[in-house]
Amino acid sequence: MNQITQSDIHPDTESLNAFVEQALPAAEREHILAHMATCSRCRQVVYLAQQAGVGPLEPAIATAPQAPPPRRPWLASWRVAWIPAAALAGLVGFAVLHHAWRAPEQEQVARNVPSQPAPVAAPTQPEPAKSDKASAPATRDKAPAPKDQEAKQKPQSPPVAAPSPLTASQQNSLGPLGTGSGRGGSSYAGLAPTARLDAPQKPSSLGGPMAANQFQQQNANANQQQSPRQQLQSAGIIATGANRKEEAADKKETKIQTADAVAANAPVTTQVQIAQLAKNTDELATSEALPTLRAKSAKSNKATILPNGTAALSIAAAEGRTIAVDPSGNVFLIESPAKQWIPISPQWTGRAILVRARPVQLRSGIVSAPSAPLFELINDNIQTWVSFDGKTWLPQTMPPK
Amino acid sequence: LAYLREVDAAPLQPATESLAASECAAVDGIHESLFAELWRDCGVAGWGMGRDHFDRVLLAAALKHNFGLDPGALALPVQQQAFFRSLRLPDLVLAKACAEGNERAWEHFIELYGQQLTHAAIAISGNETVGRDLADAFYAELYGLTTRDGERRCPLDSYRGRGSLLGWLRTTLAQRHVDHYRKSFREQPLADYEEVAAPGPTLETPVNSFAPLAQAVEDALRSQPAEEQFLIAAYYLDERTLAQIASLIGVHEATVSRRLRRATDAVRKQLLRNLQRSGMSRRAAEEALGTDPRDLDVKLDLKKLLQSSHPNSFPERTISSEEVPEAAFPKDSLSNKDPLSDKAAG
Repeated sequence: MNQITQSDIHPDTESLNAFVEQALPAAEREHILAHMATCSRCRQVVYLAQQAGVGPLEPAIATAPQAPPPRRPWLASWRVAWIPAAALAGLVGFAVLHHAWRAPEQEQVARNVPSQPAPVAAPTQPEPAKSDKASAPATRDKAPAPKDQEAKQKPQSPPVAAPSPLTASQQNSLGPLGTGSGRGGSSYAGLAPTARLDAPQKPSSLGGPMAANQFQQQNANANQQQSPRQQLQSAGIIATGANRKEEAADKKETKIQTADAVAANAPVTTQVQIAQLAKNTDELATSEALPTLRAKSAKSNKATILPNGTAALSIAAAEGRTIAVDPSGNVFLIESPAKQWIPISPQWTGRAILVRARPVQLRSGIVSAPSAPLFELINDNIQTWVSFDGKTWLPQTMPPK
Repeated sequence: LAYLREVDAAPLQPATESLAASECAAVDGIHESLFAELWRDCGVAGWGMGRDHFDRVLLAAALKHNFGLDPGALALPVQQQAFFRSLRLPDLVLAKACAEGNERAWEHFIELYGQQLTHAAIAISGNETVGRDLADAFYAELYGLTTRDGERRCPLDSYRGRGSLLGWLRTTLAQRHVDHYRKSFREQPLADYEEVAAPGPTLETPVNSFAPLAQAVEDALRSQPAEEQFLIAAYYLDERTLAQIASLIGVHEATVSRRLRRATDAVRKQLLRNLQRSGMSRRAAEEALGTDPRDLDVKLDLKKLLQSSHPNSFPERTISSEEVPEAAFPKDSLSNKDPLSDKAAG
């Protein structure tokens, strides 16, 4: 190669190569371009050099061992489909986001609904397993309780055989009544939510429309789930086989407890009166004379066998008369001098399940003192009859306002 | 720097790599640590090249191109460093080692570029036989079988490291092929000589009527920037596609198309101006060109005009005004090409 000639006329090979490879500075590139604009030989050289830079790959590939063809990225064939795919993905994403945004609102509504009866059901947390059957469906019936509340209640529910935590935690607030053992304690806890805790905690609301509504609501819930007998059994009012003796031993306590049970299950028309009764019962329970009364009652009712050979289910004594109810609903009366049980012919509907003596304050305060009945009887329909002597029974009417 | 002056005192190639006293002043600013760093990085020791030799090679490359600056400009140290770092030093060292006859360097060269060079020659010539002949002849030339004045000559000595060695080899192959073609395409067998030499009917063409037009076209083309001239020549004369031109100058095809249209409009306006300056009225000038500026391509042999418009490039071939009308209506006149239609086809 004649370099001198080439450098005089044409750019040298290195400059042309640098021009092809875009490696020239601007000034030199301009000079090369100016020359190539008028030099077909250099343009041809540049074209061929550029073409050879692309061309040798083909024979190289042909002689090389069968190399796998370069894989195109699988998304490369989606060039045209990218726009609709992106639009579809955007729509799906928006729908998912919209659904996720709306879902918490619906869940919030579902949680807010059961929170309305929550204040009533809240005190039922420390209940034994048996009482759960009576109370839990009542709270779940209208609207399910929120999960977080259930989660709070479940760990606090003791096993069946375990002692009720209520007797430990709430006996102090309940006074000597809460010290009962066995069946009495659990039955009290079963009916506690409505009358026992609500009444003392909200004494000002007793007799008001709010209290009536709460009692009515509680009654409706309970009646929807269980029959009256089941309710009483679960509440401990009706004793069953094994614990009848214990029931008899806690008779006095049971009488007081039944006031609560009646208050919980009484018809709406007698709610105000029953609430007042429950209030008075609580006041009596907290009085100092009650322990003596309970001791006497426990001693006297310990082994009361009725003439038909059955143990008394419910016994009430007042002014020298004692009235007992056997499990079949038969009522017997015994007067102090006679000391013999006299069967009382049924003057009430249904089956008698409970008889009790009316408290002194109730007889002398609320109802007119001279004509106040001594006893009251409750049948399995939670209806009340009253008697002045234990022999003649009359349906109870609402006291005059 | 003392070692640089020693390098100057012992040039490797007296004709091309000797450093003049004035050039030594230009390298005063080069820091020695840069050469040491370049020496370490390029792995030159593997080819048996000494440090002094390496420094001389670098300085010769830098001074030949004046560090990539215009002639006479003084390179700042930063510019010198940038130039040295832009060089393909491993290729440069390998080429120098091959030029000096290092056998291990030759083995490495053949291993790297042997097959690629053959493929490039075939691609350039378009024929495998011709391509292999071209590659073999080039191998012999590279190996230094040719001598001049009793001295072994190797084309690799002219490689200075600007651009890749493989690209330089391809370009050199292309030059060889083009030069060989340009020398031999007029050669024809004797059997056909009589037919070609037989005089045919001469085409009577108006000679003097297009002389002002040819001069006006030449002036209009020369008034354009160099790159626009190159675009017009590559597109209208060489009939390259927009994609080929774009890849050559490193721009997008749309840019080439836009610049081509702009250059064509500018040439037309300048042509009208030149014709009016030569005495024509505007109406007569427009009639001479026609309403469509692309008629210029049809009526004039731009190829010949552009080929011969640079007297310095082709001193042995100058254009005369009489030659223009001769080819004013060539048989293989350029087609009426539209950059936009070419772009659509490409």
